[in-house]
Amino acid sequence: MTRVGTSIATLGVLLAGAGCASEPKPTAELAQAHSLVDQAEQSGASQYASADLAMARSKLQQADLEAQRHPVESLRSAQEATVDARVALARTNAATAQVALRDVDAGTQTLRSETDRQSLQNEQASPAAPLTTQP
Amino acid sequence: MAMQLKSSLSVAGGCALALLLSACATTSPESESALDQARAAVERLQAQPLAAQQAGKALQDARDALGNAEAAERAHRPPEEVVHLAYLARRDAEVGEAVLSEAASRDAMAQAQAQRERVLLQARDREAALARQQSLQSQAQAQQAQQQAQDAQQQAQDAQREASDARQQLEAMQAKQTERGLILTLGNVLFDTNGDTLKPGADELMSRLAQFLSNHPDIKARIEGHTDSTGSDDYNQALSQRRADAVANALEGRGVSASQIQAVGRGKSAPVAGNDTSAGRQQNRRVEVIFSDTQGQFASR
Repeated sequence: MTRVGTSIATLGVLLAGAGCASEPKPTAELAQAHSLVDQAEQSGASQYASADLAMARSKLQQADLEAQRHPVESLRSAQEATVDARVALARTNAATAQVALRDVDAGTQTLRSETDRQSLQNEQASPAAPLTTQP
Repeated sequence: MAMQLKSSLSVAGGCALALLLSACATTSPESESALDQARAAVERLQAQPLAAQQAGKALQDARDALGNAEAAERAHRPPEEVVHLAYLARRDAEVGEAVLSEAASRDAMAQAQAQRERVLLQARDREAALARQQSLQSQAQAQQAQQQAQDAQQQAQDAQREASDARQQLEAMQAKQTERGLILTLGNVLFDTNGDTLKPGADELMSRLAQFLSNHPDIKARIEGHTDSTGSDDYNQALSQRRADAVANALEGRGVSASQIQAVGRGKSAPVAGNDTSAGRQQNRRVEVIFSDTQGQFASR
């Protein structure tokens, strides 16, 4: 009698908590979320997209916590962690591309002013034939 | 009053029913807001001209996710599900925006690297041009130095030849090398006794002398008149001056510059022989022409 009561109570808790206790644990989505958060971390997202990475981590943690008892919520958290990690990754890639571009531009600028300075000195020392300037 | 109460009750009943069904049947403000945000994000992404080309997958994901969210809304799914699906759509669109930004930077990078190549090439061109120019300049300087050395050598040879020619010509006129320099002595026979006029026999010598001085404008000549000791000092001084002047005039008359010659009377002060014999006095009566070197300098006595 007691055992039956306990079982019914447990079933009730499961039904109330999960909404649909028949849903299985979202193993594939959790694995994908872990993989993408790792990928974002390795690409340097903590430097260039720290807010997005923090959201992804927090939701991934949530998804892991809910995995057993609330598979629907766990699935959503895992999906949101995945998409947050994708945003973090894409924004990191965009930022690093921009940094690389600025580095090249700055290098070119330095080179050009160096060249201009040298040729100015040379022209002062001895007038040289004028060279075409870059547009 | 009774009608009003009944109506109120039925409203309350309706509310209770609505509350019961609210999980599935009503549109919540949260899901509306989430859907609006998602639609705005997707529209922003697809408004970018290169979105389909450079962020096609993200755009497609976002559209699909937005479709799912709207379908869930239409199917009166619980708000948290709609909010969740709308969130996925918004974030997919944000991935697309970032992908577009990265693509733009990569395109610009290709141009930046091409620009850098051009600047490098230009720097190398300038260096090469400068090196060529410096090489030409040093060649020209070397040639100039060589030319100057040749000119200096030529000038030295010319000066030497002129000095040598002058000496030979003067020696041909019987000039003698002494410690006072080259001296040409015009003997007493060229003047009348006690006179100051050159005899016609002196013409040829005067002409040669004038020609020589004209040919060598750098050489100066000092013309000194001398007498023997016969007669007073004043008379001898005056006579020697007049004879020196006569020679100077003869030379100037033949085109020699006055600045090149100087006439001096020295009377009996500088005899070259004794005055006690007729032969000695004959030697002392004379005019000497003393020549400078080719720089106009006389030997110091």
